Amino acid sequence: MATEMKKLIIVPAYNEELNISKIIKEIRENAPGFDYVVINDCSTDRTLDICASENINYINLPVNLGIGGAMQTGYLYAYENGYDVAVQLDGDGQHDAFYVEEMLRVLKEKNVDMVIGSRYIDKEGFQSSTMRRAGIKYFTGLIKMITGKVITDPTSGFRMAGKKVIKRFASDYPRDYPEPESVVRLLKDKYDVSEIPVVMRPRQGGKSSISALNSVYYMVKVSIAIIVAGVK
Amino acid sequence: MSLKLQIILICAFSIIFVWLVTRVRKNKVDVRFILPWIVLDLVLLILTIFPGIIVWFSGLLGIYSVMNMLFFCGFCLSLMVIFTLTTAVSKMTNEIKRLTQRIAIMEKESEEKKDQGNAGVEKDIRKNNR
Repeated sequence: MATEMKKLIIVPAYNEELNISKIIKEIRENAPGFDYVVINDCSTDRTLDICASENINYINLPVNLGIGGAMQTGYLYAYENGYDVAVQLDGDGQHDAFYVEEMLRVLKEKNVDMVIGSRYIDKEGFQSSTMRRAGIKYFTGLIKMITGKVITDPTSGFRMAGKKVIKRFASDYPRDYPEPESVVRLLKDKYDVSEIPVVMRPRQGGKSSISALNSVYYMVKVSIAIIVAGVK
Repeated sequence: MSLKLQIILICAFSIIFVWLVTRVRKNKVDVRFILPWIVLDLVLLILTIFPGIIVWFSGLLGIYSVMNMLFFCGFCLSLMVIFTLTTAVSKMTNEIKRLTQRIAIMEKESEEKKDQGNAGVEKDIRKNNR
């Protein structure tokens, strides 16, 4: 390609005062070719102060939109600024910016629309609890049933999107627990999705967005969303 | 249905109808949202004035008491009203989401412009690919 690609890392952050500066430091060191933007989802802690005082490139949401709405803000920003590639990288320190170059390589080489970083290809590093693994297995099975494709880690929030997907996500992205649902919608509409093995870390502080009480809602909501997306 | 009950209900539904219409006239509520309520009220009013309709329907559905049928109609129409509300809330949620995102991005852009104006203050935007 004649011109350089414009590449963006989107970091959604809700109450990540403990992690955010470390993550940005990592991105600067390990993914030097990438721009980044932090989406502060109306955090109630010092996340915004840290972003402002440490010269971090950020967008501040005036109202809490949840992970889906925050993520979509990043895609909207990427779309409007003409980015060719956008990577989601969670603000809790689970994802290592080291892998984005590899994701980019696969995206270009296989000419796919999205690359997912999967914990369950090489089964290395943080594998999540047994319960959650069972849940993820179930989603993998459900998605295979509906789309015929195997996605080993459909709940992974570590994903790279090409231009077509950026445009689509900017206009249409699920509000909560968006990952599995959005993958199914892409697969249904004949986008190509590929996975690479990554090693994830346990979250390094802050709280997961999925509490025990919410997990039942999560399973039901995502199942219905997947099935509906499949029928559409 | 006894005549006494019929008269009470007709009065009640009529008063509610007048009240609903005045709400709209005073611009307190949008017609779009009050419309299901007006339809609900009118249907119940008509059914009370002409119980024949409802008797016929009750027979058709195998409901023994006419009053039960009336409640059933009211209940179904209420569900309809609630559903229109659900739809409206869902639509609004999406609109608010879009607005929030737009405002956030606009705010960022105006910040960037301000920073460009301030010589010496350089933000780390890392547009190093251009």
